[in-house]
Amino acid sequence: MSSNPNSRQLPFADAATIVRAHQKDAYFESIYRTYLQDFFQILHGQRFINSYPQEITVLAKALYLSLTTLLGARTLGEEYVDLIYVNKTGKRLPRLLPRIGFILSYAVLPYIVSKIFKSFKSSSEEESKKDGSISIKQWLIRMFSNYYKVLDVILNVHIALFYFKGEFYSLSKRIFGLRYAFGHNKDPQKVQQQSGNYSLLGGIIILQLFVKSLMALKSYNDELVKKGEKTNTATQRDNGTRIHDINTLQTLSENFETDHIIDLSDESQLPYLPENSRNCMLCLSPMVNPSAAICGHIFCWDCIVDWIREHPECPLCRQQCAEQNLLPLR
Amino acid sequence: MAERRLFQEYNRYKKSPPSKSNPQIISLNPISEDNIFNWQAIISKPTKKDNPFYYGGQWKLSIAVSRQYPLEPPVIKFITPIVHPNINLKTGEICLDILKKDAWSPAWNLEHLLVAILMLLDSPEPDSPLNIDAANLYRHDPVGFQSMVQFNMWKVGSFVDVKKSTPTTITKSNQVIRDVSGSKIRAIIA
Ligand SMILES: [Zn+2]
Ligand SMILES: [Zn+2]
Repeated sequence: MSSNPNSRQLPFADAATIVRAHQKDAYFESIYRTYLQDFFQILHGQRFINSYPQEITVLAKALYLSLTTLLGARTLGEEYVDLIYVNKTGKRLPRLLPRIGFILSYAVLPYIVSKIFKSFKSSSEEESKKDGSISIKQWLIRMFSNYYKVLDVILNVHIALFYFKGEFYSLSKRIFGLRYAFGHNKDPQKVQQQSGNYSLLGGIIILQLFVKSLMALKSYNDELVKKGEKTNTATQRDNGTRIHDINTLQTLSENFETDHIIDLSDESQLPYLPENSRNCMLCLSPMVNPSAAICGHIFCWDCIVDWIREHPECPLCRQQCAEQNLLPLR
Repeated sequence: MAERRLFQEYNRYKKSPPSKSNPQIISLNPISEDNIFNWQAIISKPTKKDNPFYYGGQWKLSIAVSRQYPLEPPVIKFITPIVHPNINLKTGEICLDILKKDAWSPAWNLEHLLVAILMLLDSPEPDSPLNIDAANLYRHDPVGFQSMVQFNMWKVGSFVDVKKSTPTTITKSNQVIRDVSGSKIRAIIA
């Protein structure tokens, strides 16, 4: 923040401007993604898009940054608010190597890590099914799941730091020392004012982290206490209540069925339906649990559900109608 | 569900036979009451007014109903060979959209399907043919198509059974063809 307007050094950007640039870039990345998606749809069809959504996103991100940051050009978001990359000292432009490192770690690395994690998980699940013992892989997975939690905390602290000091918006930028500076001279006092409201956000994040860690500590403590209390009798009682629950559920559902069948062969049921429209067009019998489609045509619940699950339309008028649109008459 | 629905239909046809409301449907019933899933039907085009190509003919159809009926359409085939652009001459397979899963609706019944097949006889679709020769002939030479249809009907003997069909208005043209059945048919066409 200590930039001297009289020196040759460009003033460092503030948090608000960086966030604006980032939002703009995110918007253009999503447009990029749509174009890529259209391209792949023509090339490989809809199925390809559905099976590789993550890959397309990563590709869009990497392409967008390669065509701008890697070539030494500004992204559209940076151009929009007039930002340029400088190195940590703010005296010169970042070199090519840090830029490559940033793009790889920002766009591609998280994807690769999550892929490795997934393959580890699935392979070890198979293994544990085979022998049931704890293998090195399972241990690694625990490490990984902890890694995600730790990463989450680090990222939160990092973003809070950003809100306070306005240095690096993403962790990769911090690691590779890519800082933003304004492309023009700015009144440093004005900049100071604008970043003021962002430190409040940073404060909230820190507070949230603090509360979270307190809760985690408490639940950990509770578990320790419970472990001490838990004995064989407790588990037995547990089983007992469960069986009881299932029994009540069964009786409930039995009661439900007998209470709620509406059979139109009984003339006292739904007397407002005229006699010539009490038959179901599908089973040709008096309707049981009559249910209306969106268009108002009425069928037995069982008959129409069987049909609509395969063909979401009314059998009589072919108006679109999904299963959840069926309305049981009462 | 299929069984119950089919018995409902059967009872309905017994109460008010399709032949009463539509004289072109001669009969529609299960082959035996033991198996409600196999039906047969006889349809006809008695007079030239009914159809300019197929007049005087009658055809037997087999109707195989699946256990998924009415969620799935039945399979209907011509047992009597018939020359028609949308009907396979050898297998009797019918190309009709409502007999296919995509266009079928469970609100239709077997009688509706027979009516649809009768309408297919009246207006063939030569653009989606199962019998390409018939389709070409129908498109380019209607008179030739008519004589081919009639010749085939004579060959397989699928003329209306006069004793059974009682309508009083059996037209002269119909009788002429029945009488000549062979040598004089050439003279009429010529
Ligand atoms: Zn029904
Ligand atoms: Zn409807």
